[in-house]
This record gives sequence, C-alpha cells and structure tokens, in this order.
Amino acid sequence: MMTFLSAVDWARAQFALTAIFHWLFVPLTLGLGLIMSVIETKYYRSGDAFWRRAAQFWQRLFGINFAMGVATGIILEFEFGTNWSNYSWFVGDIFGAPLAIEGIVAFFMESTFVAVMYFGWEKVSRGFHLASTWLTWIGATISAWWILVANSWMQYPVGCAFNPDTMRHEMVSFWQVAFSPFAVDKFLHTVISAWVIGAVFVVAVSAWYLLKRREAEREMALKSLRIGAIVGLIASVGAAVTGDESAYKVAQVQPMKLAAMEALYDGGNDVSLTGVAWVNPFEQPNYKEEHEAPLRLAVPNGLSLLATRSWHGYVPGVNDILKGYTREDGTREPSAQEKMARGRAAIQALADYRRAKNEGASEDEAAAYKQVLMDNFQYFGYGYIRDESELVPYIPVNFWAFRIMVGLGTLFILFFAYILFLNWKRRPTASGSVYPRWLLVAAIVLLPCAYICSESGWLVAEFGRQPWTIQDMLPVTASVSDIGSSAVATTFWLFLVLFTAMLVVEINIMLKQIKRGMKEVKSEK
Amino acid sequence: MPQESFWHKAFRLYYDGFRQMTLGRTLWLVIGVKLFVIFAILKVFFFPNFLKQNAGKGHEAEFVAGELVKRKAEAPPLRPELEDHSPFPSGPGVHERE
Repeated sequence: MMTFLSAVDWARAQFALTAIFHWLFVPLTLGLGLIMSVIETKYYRSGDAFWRRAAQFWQRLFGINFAMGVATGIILEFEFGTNWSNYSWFVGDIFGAPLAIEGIVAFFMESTFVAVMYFGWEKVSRGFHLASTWLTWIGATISAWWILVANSWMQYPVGCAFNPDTMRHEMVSFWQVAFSPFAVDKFLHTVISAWVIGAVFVVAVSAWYLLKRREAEREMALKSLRIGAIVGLIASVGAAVTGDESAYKVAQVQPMKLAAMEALYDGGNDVSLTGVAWVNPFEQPNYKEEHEAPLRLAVPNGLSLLATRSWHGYVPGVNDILKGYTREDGTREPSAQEKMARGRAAIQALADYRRAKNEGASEDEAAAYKQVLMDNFQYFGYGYIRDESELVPYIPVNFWAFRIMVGLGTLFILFFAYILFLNWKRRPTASGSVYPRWLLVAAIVLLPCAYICSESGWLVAEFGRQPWTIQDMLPVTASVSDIGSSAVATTFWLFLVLFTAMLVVEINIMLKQIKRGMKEVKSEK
Repeated sequence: MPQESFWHKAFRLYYDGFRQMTLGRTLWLVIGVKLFVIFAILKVFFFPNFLKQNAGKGHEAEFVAGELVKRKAEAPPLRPELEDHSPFPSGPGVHERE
C-alpha cells in the first residue's frame, strides 16, 4: 500500500489522524467544562453540599479527559515543520501568531485555574473557586478561538499581504484575521457543537447510573441528566442555527465545497436542497456527464435559500465553477482554465522577480514582475493544478459526512427535547423512573454518535476545501515538503498505534472512574 | 499568628494539592509518559525541522521559492483569449517560460 500513496497522501492522512484524535478530547473539555461550571454555580447559589459533590464528580471526569488531551495538538505543529515546510514558511506569522497566543493563554489560564479548581476546594472562598472553574472553561474556549482563527484563515485568507522577498505572508490587519466573519462563524458553530458532546456525555453517564439502579448516584444522575438535556437542547438548536450561517459563508467563499456537500453538478436558480440521493461512497461521481445524483429527494428552492438567502438565488454547481459563471451581482467568476493560466503567470512572475533581484536587474524591471505577480496572486495556487478535475474535492465524503452531521444533529434536538418533555410531565414509568428504559439505553448509544457527528463536521470542512491548504493560494501538492513517502508512512503507523493505546488508556480510566461513582468524591468538611 | 503571604498560600495550594492527589497521580503518570514520547522520541527522531535541515539558516526564503517555482504546472497549449497579461510585449505573463 505504501508504494501506491505519495508523500502528500501520507502527510494528509497523518494530519487527519492526529487532528481526529485531538478532536476526541477538545469538544468534551469545552462541553463538560460548561456543564460542571453550571453545576458548581448551583452549589454557589444554594450552598447545598449535594451540588458540591456533583460538581466534584464531573470535575474528576473532566480532569481525566483534560489530562489525556494535553499536548496531543502539539504533534500537529511538529507535522507542519516536517511534512508541510513549504506551507509553514509561506503562511508566515499569520498562522504563528494565533497559535502562539493560544499556547500562552492555554498555559497560563488553564494551568492556574485548573489547579485552583482541583486543589482549592478547602483553600479558597466559594466565589473564587467558582470563578476559577468558569475561567478554566473560558480559557479552554479562548484556546479554541485562536486555533479556529488559524484554521479559518486557511479557508478564507484575509488581513494579509504576500512578500515575495521573504516568501512569507505578512499580517496587515490583526483584527481582520482574528475577527474574520468566517472565523466567527466557525468558532460559534464548533464550540456550540462541542457543548452538544458535553451534554450527551453527561446524559449518557447519568443514564448508565439509572439503568444500573445505583442508589448512591441516583439523585446526582437525575439532576445532571436534566441539566445535560437543557444544555444539550440549547446547544443542538444553536449548532443548527450557526451551522446554517456557516453554510451560507461557505457558499460565499468556498462554492466548490458547497457543491461537493450537495453533490450539485449543474447549478442555477431555484436550486433544491438535497435530502438524500445515491452517491456511491467509494467512487467520485461522473459530474461532467450526470446532471444530478440518482434517486434524489430534495426540498424545492432549499439550497438557493440556504446559500443566497433568496428563494430564487443562483447557486453554482461543480461544472459551473469549472467553466466560470456570472454571479447575481453581474460580476464574473473566471473559469478554472483562466485561473490556472493566471496562477502559472503569478508563479512565473515570482521566479522572474526573484531572478531579477538576485541578478541586480533594474528596479523598474523587478517592479514590473512584482506587479504581474500581485495582479495574479489571488489565483497563485491554481498555477500548481495540472488538470481541472484536481479542483473538485472528493464528493462522496463531503456528501455523506454532511448528511451524517445534519442527521445526527437533528436527532439530538429531538432526543433532548423528549427528555425535557418527560421531565416536565413527570409521569413515572413502570420502573418508577421518569425515563423509559429504551431512552436510557439510547442515551448511551448516542454517545459515540455525538463524536461521529462532530468528526463528520470536520471531514466536511477539511475534505471540502481540497485541494487547498490555503484557499486558492496554495494546494497540498505545493505545501508538502520534498520528503519520501515511506518516512511519513512510518510515522503514520506509529501514530496509529500510539493514539490507539492512549485512547484505550483513557477510556479505561474514565470507565473505572464512572463505575466508582460518587464514592471517591469527598464530603464537605 | 502572622498572616501567610500570597506566594506562601499559592505554594501551599500546589504542594498540598499534589501531595493529596489520588486519581491525579495516575493522570500525571500518563501525562509524563505522553510528554516523554512526544518530545524525547517523536520530536527528536521523527520530526526534524525540514527547512533547518535542508535550507540552512537565513536561506529558507530562497529554498521555499525554489520549491514553489519548480512545482509549477506545465502549461497546456494557450487559447487566444488568454494570450497575454504581461506588461511587456515579450515579458512575464501567461507565456510560461521554463
């Protein structure tokens, strides 16, 4: 298998593996952090020792997840330096600054307040302890902000200028980078969907105690389940709303990603939103010949509304984007061939500019080459594209991952709403519980589904932007280091073993702690 | 009894906290092993800084420029409407020169 895959394939696979593994821990930190803070707030307001023990219980599980997730993200930075060195240099401070801020904030905020949260129950006031718990969660959320800013810049590069002398991007506007509309939407959608994972986790653990009829944990489980369901319902509705806004932004700045998500080959006005269709998961469809995916069930005008906020809006399909099209405002989007030609012109101008500088040619000549470079720079990355089919992401992954994410997200809304409905009705079942047994079993089954939903979202975001590392500026084939595929393949398998072992350790410690329940949580002095 | 200073209190918080850990001991062991593997094995043996090794300090821009220029796609035969974006009659533009 090694010989069939190139270095860029292995580097991508390794990055995906690391990011997927890292993302198993981050959303639970963000989601469970919120719920444990809410529970401790109940303790602060009521002074009831029960809430203190409940908060301590969830904080222990938070601690296990936090400890397991520590430093897994650093491996991604190693990969940038080794596998993606052209990208790392080309991107310059744009990527480095948010990551540096993230590192500093994460280290100082989290290391300070996590310590107070765990060690400070008997040593600091209730108010200070509560503040520390919230600040632990806020610190983690701010960390996520900076990571998502860096990721968003790759998808929608703004606030920067390319310097052909240093071969790096330089930040022109910190605020444009930090608060680009794309980053804001991505942050809201990602963080709010992480709260859903936290809520599903709390509900699943609580359901397990109720299923096992553990008397010592019964009250904690019932009350936590209710809080989890409230947070979960708010978050899953919030994730749907922010997801809609994210899709709108994608339609504006990454239309090919939207076309791949929808398997939309030929666009137009009044475009319907695909519910389901048969897109072969193992094969890129023949988008040039097929008008649309077979067995398609769709909501009339739905995609036009989602992508343009107008029932009749124009949405380009894969073929339109390749051929070029005219937008609603009358401006023309060039064809793939035009962009590829301009990209090659930009790269040639870069070569000529640097040669002119090195050979001491006149300033005017160098300036003219630079002008050509800058005139065509928005299509720089297209100069590496050999065939326009490279510009089409792998449609099956985008299509199905998007449907899995939306389908499971909708299921979570119904699930949390039903729990709260039963809670509101308070009519006990035959077992004496408010919740039927099937619902408690479903709560546990839904826990891995929450992770699948979240990872599917990332698959859409990252597969959908292919072939780009930086949208329109640098494709993966130009970003990757000139290294042998066997070297990257070796570390890929090494990581797979390492990550699997770490995951087994974490799940083992977590399950043991859940089985111990409230026993190890200290009573108030 | 003299009042404890802030720094003394902070020290006691960490000192007592670490001393009384139960589950935390296991977690710190896992963190320690993980950090050792990441920084002492992976970083040292498997993840060298590619540019530092291949370009040398101060020559990174030249190296990356060379890499990015040499990977440029070959041009297909030109269509007439794309013929020239160049400021020079025979200068840089869409007429690729290798």
